[in-house]
Amino acid sequence: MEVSVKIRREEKSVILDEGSTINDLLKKLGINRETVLIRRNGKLCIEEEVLNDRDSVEIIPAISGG
Amino acid sequence: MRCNKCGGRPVYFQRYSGQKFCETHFKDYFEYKFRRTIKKYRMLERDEKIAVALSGGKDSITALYLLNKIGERMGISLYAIAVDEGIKGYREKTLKNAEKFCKKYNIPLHILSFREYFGKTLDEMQRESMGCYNCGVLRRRLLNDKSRELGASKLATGHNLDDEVQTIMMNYIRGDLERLIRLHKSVDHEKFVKRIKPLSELPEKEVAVYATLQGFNAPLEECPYSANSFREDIKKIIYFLENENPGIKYSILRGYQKLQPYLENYSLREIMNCKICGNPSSSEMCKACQLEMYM
Ligand code: SF4
Ligand SMILES: [Zn+2]
Ligand SMILES: [Zn+2]
Repeated sequence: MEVSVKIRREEKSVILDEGSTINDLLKKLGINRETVLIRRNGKLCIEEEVLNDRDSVEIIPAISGG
Repeated sequence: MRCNKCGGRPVYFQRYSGQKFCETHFKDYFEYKFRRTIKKYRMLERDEKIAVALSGGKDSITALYLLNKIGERMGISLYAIAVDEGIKGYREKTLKNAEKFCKKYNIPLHILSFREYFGKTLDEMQRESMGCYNCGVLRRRLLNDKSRELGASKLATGHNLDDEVQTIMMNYIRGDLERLIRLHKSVDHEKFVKRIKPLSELPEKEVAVYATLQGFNAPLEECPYSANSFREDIKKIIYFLENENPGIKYSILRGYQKLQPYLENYSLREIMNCKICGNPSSSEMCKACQLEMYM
C-alpha cells in the first residue's frame, strides 16, 4: 500500500507492506516516535494504529530544537 | 486499542504506563498531573502574584493556560513576560502567538526587547558570536528584573520533564555539582525571584499532545541559534534511551531526587551582590553586567 506522508513542509509518498502500523512507518523513516506526534487523516492518533492504503499521515515534531 | 477509561478512540499511548487515553481523558490526566506537581513542590500559595515567562511556544503557553485555570480559585494574579531577543524569522511568530493568547484570556503581557535594554538585537550580537548560553543569561536578567518590578513573588517557566532531565544529565557528565544543586535549591537573595516549573513532571511529548488538543497552534519554528549545542547531543541520547526503555526520563528524575539529601553537605559558592546591578552573582560582577560591558 501507499501512504502520503507530510513532515513539516515536505510531502512524499511511502510504500509499505499491508498491515503496517504508524510505528512501522516511523521506523522505516528513521524517526524516533518519542519525538513526534502523528495526525492520521487529520486526527491525532497513537502509533499502534494500522494504516490503510492512501492514508495521509502528518508527522509533527513534538520536541523543541530536536 | 481503546481508551483504558472509557473505550473511546485513543489519541495518546503512554508507553511507560501502558495506558491509552482518549482526548477527554488525556486532558483530565494532564491537568491532574499539573496540579499534583504544583502541590507536591508547594509551588503556589493563595493570593500570590506570579510572573510567567512566556515565549509563545507550546510549553510556556500551556503553563500559562493552566496556571490561569487553576489560579482563579486560589486568588492568584498572573503577569506574562515575553522577551524579544530580536531573532528574525522566529521570534516574531512566537510573540504574535503570545500576544493573541494573552488577549484572549485577558492576561497582562509585558514585552521586553534586547534592543531596548541592551541596545542591540540578538541577530546583531550574533555577528559578534554571542551564543545561546549568553542569550539565556541576558533573557533571565530581564525576566528576573521585570518580575521583581511587578512585585511578583515567583517566576513560572515552561520547563518540562525533558528539559529537567537534560539539565540533570549535562551536569552529571560535567560533574557540575553547583548547577546540579541549584536545580532544586533556589538562590536565596532579596533580588532574586524564585522560579517554579509546573510542567517539570510532564514529558514534552505530552505537553505537545495537550497543546495540540487545546488548539494552541504554537509555531513549530526553531530558533536558528539553538542547534549544535551540547544539550542537543544529550537530547538525542535521552530520546534513544526513552524509546528503548519507556519511562527512563522519570527514572533519571527520581534518581536525582534520591541523591539530593547527599548533596546537602556540599558547600555552594558564596553569593555576592553584583557591584553594578545588585543582583545575586558568583563573582563581583554578574554575567549579564559582564556581557553588557562588552557590548
Ligand atoms: S535557543 Fe538560545 S539563542 Fe535562541 S532564543 Fe533560546 S537561548 Fe536565545
Ligand atoms: Zn476516555
Ligand atoms: Zn549585574
